[in-house]
Amino acid sequence: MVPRGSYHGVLFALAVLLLVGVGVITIGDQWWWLPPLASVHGAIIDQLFTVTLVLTGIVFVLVHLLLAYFVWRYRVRSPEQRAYFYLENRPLEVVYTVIPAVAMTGLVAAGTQAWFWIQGPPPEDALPVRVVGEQFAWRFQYPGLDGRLGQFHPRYVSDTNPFGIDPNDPAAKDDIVATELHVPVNRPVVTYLNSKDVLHSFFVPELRVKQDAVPGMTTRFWFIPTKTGTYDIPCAELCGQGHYIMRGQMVVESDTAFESWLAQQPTLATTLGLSQ
Amino acid sequence: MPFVKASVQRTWDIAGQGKVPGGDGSPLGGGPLMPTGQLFVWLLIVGVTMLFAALSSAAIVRIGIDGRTLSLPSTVWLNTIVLLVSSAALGAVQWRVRVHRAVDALALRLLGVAVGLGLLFLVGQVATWMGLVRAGIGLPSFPAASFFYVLSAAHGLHVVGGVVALLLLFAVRKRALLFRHRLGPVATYWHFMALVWVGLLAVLQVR
Amino acid sequence: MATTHAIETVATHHEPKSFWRRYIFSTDHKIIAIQYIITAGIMGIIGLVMSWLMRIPLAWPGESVPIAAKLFPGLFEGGVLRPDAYLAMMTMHGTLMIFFFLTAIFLGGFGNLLIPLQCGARDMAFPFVNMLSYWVFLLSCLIMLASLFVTGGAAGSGWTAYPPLSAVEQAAAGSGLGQTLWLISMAVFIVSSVMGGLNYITTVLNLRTQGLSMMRLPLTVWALFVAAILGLLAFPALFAGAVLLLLDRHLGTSFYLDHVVVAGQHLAREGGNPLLWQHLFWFLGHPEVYILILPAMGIASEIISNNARKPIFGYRVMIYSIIAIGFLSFIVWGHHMFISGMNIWLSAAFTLTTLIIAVPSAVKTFNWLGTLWRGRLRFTTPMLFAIGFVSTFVTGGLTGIFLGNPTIDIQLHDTYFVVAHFHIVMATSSVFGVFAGIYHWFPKMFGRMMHEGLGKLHFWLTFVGMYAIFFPMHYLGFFGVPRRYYGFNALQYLPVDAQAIQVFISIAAFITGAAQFIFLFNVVYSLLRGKRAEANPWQATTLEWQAPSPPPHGNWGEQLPVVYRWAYDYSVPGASQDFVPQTVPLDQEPTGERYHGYVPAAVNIPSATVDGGTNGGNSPSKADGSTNGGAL
Repeated sequence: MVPRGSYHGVLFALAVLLLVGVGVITIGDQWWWLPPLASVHGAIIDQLFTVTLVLTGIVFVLVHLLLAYFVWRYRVRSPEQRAYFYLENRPLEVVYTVIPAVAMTGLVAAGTQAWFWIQGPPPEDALPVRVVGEQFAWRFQYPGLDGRLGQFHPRYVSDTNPFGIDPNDPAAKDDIVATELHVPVNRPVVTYLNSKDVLHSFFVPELRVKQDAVPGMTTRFWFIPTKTGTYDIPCAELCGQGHYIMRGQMVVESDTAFESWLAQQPTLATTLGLSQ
Repeated sequence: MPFVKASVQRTWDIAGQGKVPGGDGSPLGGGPLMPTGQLFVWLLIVGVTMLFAALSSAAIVRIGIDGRTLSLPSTVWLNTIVLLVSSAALGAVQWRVRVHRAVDALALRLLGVAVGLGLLFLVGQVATWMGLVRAGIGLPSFPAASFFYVLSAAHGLHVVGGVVALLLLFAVRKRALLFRHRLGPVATYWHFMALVWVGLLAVLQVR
Repeated sequence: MATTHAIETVATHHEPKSFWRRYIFSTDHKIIAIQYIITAGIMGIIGLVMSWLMRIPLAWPGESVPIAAKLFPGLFEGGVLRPDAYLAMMTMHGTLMIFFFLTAIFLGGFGNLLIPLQCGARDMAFPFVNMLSYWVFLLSCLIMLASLFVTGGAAGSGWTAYPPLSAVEQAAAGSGLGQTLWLISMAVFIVSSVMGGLNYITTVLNLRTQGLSMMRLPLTVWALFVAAILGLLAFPALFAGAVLLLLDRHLGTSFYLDHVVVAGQHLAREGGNPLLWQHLFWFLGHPEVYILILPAMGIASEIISNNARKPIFGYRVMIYSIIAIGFLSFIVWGHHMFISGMNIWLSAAFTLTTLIIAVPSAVKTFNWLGTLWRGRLRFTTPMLFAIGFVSTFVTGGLTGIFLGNPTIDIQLHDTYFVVAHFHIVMATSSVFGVFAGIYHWFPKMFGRMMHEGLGKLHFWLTFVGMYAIFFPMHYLGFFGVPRRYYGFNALQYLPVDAQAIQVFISIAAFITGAAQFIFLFNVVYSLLRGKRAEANPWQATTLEWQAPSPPPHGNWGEQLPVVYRWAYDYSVPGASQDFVPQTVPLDQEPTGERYHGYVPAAVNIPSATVDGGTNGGNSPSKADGSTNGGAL
């Protein structure tokens, strides 16, 4: 008996070929791609991304071509046709166990090496900035002349001290507070992330920066911006009804522009009326 | 469910005959692994262990970061002895039934002791909580206290289940075969409850 | 094996007669399976409608949709879905689909249906517990659905329910009673699934019929067995997590909460850590996704082998990979937490385990291809869904390699790339496993065939549609579109194409979703008008097809079937047909079974090594079934 409908094998093969074609053309041509890169470590992320894309792309195409060929070639075509009895092929199975294992090991090695560098200690001269997330905004705290950030704790949050900075911390007095993040170009910046309420995630797509802000913890992410410009800081971790409108602005600018901007921002002492 | 009993009985018989055709020589080659009720209890123990493992690892981390420990009231230690003796009493029931191959008066008395001590343990746990509350240590006070309440309550609920199972054994005391058949799994669970309690006490001491 | 006569006498003696005992409060595993499938199916449809509601504002932000607003007045305001309703839909869609649809339909539905039948058992080891498991599951469904109607609406913190958002009532509209009910429902669901899991594992270990060694089981049973073990080991962690979260919410403890300021109010908790929840959640959460993919793999293996008329390629290696995947799934959970602030060394360790788990998955894929190679492929509807499963599993699995790498995850985490990845694996591959299974075993469940033409139409719309929905989502991930966003206004880094892709996805989602109603129609139509099914319509080897369709109460009549061979004797050279059921003695038909000490001369085994052979347990003379009489 030849079951009707074996043309579905041909259809399936064509559908799969279409999928492979669309995938290869759109991705290979980079029709739609990551946002233009604007940081040093981002180059490593993009490189790993591309390598992984090529490797997985090869597997994707290969497996789908085989799948398409097999369903087209071995569909039932005559009543006499019989399947070839074949149990297994151990050497072949070993080969296709070892090859992915080796490829994965390579990716793990490259990935973790880059990971340790990106997540590792920031350079000594990095500009520290505290980023505080709240429903639904980002706030930023810069060290003053002493180069040290005053302590943060949600218990200090009040109408007059929305930043939650410890008013009694001597390091805090000269700290500068802002609702926009400005950083100098080509200079390392280390962000210390805190949250007043729920989880947030500090995401700057162009800079390949993402790190959760966790209440009760301080997390850290450092980067070197390489392009001046204005960037969005969306929140990437669900934080409630206004999650989708929680947005900060990041301005990467020249050293002089940054210094003059910083000089115009209020210090904590003035906002809290401590200087009097 | 006559079918089910028949099929269980039948596979046991196969197990009695040794290897079945097609068995590949592995322990799982064919026939049942162990009496079905016993297997059920072992698997239940696996699940319950995972529950307490999750709670305990949370407790160890959380109490460790916090640093404060709860000095356990003396009733806890008394209670622990009660539960261990109850477990021993049930062990004696098992021994009695195995040796004498019958459910005699002594076995039932020992079973009564095991159940009674189990109930006493539960009462003692409640007394412990009340003592703690009187001392001003409530559930939200600090992590070690919170976890003591959570762990002892979770354990207590499982002990309640064990007591019910022991009482159900009483219900079948006239049917020796069924009694012996059920005693094993129930006892395994009961001993496990005593073991879990000791383990939890150890967890609460970790700093 | 069993005669019809025997079946009838037994059936009339013991089958419960009243409608209630027979179809409602039944302890028969087949009825319970159908109850599970119907209930899970309803939850799946509700989840599908929720995804439609979500897709409206994503594609057409701010536009009034009067029809939807009229149907769901509580969720819309001025014809537009409210943002808090969006979050509630998103949370409930994930929760319903993962737990109440897929978990329930695989373990509760197919586990109940196939484990006793394919093991040659009369029922589950504990039929009463089995029945209880279903009713407790139904209770959890009702609690979850009830949460849609409480003040503040259903939970809105995502299916992952991360605290503090899920712990603090003031943090979101859905964090009130909705979130409490969510947690209670999940706890009840876990009780149900543990009861089910205990049953499945016990049944596989203890109630296999004579001759059915573990290494003769169909891969469906192996996959369901390992999935049940994963559930038993993993679900208690979420139970513990849910209890602690409830205490944080209502009794003032601080397991997950530190001092927070929400809506201007100080909440004086101290020292708790939200990451603790994430660890407990993902300790369940990751095995959970394998609970959903393993049974689909088992079903696909079974159906591909049956429709290629070939033994599954590398049967033992398939089993080893199922076990390896099951084991590894417990030590990969941290890859959900790379950017959560978790220790970076821990992240590195989780990277290693995560990428290792790709190896057994790759092996399984190549073995499916090996099974297709030189087969005699029949394109029945279940077969189309099974090969569709292979395609989507490969696509979805490969994107996991990006996300398992913490460095790449920095950019892709919590973007649409993640959504695309798990929807291709879960919403497409797993769901294809469900459809393949239903089309394949429908005749066994109901004694009627499903309509092939409608089935194929359903397949094509779903296969093309699912790729149309989820393939373009990867590009949104490239752009850095964050997930769980109600709208994307003024995200200046997004190219204009992003919105066009959203519109395309929404249209594809509406069409593909609508195509599922073809399937529903097919089910109803086939139940009433479908062609009567014979006992073994697919010419399959496994035990369930040796029972009548549908099998009577007790499945096998007076005598249990005796098994003489493995589950994959397809196209064995020298056999009279291209399949040999497991119940056919070895002196009647040759076997292709490789490892049991008996290698038929007619079979040309390509590689020379044959292990085993020492126990000699499989020689034809011993296996003629005569031993079974004395056992009863």
